[in-house]
Amino acid sequence: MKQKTTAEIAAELPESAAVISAGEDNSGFANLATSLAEIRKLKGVSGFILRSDTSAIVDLTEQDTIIEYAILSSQISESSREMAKQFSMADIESVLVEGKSVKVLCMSVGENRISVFMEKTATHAWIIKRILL
Amino acid sequence: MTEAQSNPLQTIIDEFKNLCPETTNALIFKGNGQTVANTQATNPDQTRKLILCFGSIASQAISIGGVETLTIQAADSQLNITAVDNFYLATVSSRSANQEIMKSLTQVVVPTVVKLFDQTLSVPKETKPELILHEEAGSEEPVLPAQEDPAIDSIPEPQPPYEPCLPKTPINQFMVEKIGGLLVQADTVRIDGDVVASWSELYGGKQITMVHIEALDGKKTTCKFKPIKEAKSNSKGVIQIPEKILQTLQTEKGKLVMVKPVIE
Repeated sequence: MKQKTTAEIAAELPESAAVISAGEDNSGFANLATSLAEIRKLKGVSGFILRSDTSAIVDLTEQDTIIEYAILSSQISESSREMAKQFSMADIESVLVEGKSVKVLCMSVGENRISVFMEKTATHAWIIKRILL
Repeated sequence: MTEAQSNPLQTIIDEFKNLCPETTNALIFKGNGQTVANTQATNPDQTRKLILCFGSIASQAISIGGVETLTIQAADSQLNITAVDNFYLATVSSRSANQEIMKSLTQVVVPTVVKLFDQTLSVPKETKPELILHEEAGSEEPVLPAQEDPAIDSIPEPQPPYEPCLPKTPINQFMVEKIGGLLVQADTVRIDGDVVASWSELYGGKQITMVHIEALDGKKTTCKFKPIKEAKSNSKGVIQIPEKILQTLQTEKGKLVMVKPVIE
């Protein structure tokens, strides 16, 4: 099956989604983008951020939270790696941070980093399974 | 005996290993970064870095309403941090641990003890004489003569020199701001005035002139400090650091550092 390009992925995403590309995508990026576009339609999911070294897709319902959510997801990714390292935890599968109103699921798949923002009632376990498929 | 060894939260933490043997580390810390109780298996470096990393996430998590729980799932193990009032319980356990027991401990037992512990701390000290009176009344009851032990000449143990009992040094987390200008001393940082006042109060007005600063990656320095005098709301939780000290710490504006007063 032909690998989708960032332009093709962008065409399938809603207009509100921001797609940034500075080079060729890795093979997993397009597959993850497709999976996340499906996850995005689930009840309670308010958006996602998918990043690789060369591309990024930001699709969040609340546009005014984009910067805050981007900084938070980056901080979760960096700090959770350090915490896991301290306790010799190998191969992080997922990081879940629950706030008062929203929860964030962060995962790394290869060189791609994913953050899914959702309501606290949403089932994150299913999302983990879907991403790891 | 340290504070951490004598409180009921330490007892609970010590029991974690018995109740759930798959738990390798457990600790309770306060929102200000102070460790209240931890397992022996958790070394100070692990504790410090865990609290620092968690603080970094918490400081960015205002947009989601703070952090109530944080769970890192790795291949075989998991790290969980749960907020209980102003305390945080962190556990590291195997993923094969009985989740029901873990849930009971982290969501029922510890929160209950933390709430009781918090209430005990907030009880005004005036209630203490009542307890003493009660003990005195009890002492009037007839007491059986104590059985005499055979006389053994014990060697008196050398008494340690008297040291005044100072409160545990508070560790505060601040966000870095760069400070510069002609009137700025290169060897002096400026700290949120409220925090400086709380240190002064904690140590009964004792003069504190130096602070120990540690960056996220472990770079440390000790330097002089001054309180930020401006009563601006944006000075809360802020440390203003001159360029020279920023270079020593290899940190920059917006990063977090841990600061504790140097008590001599």
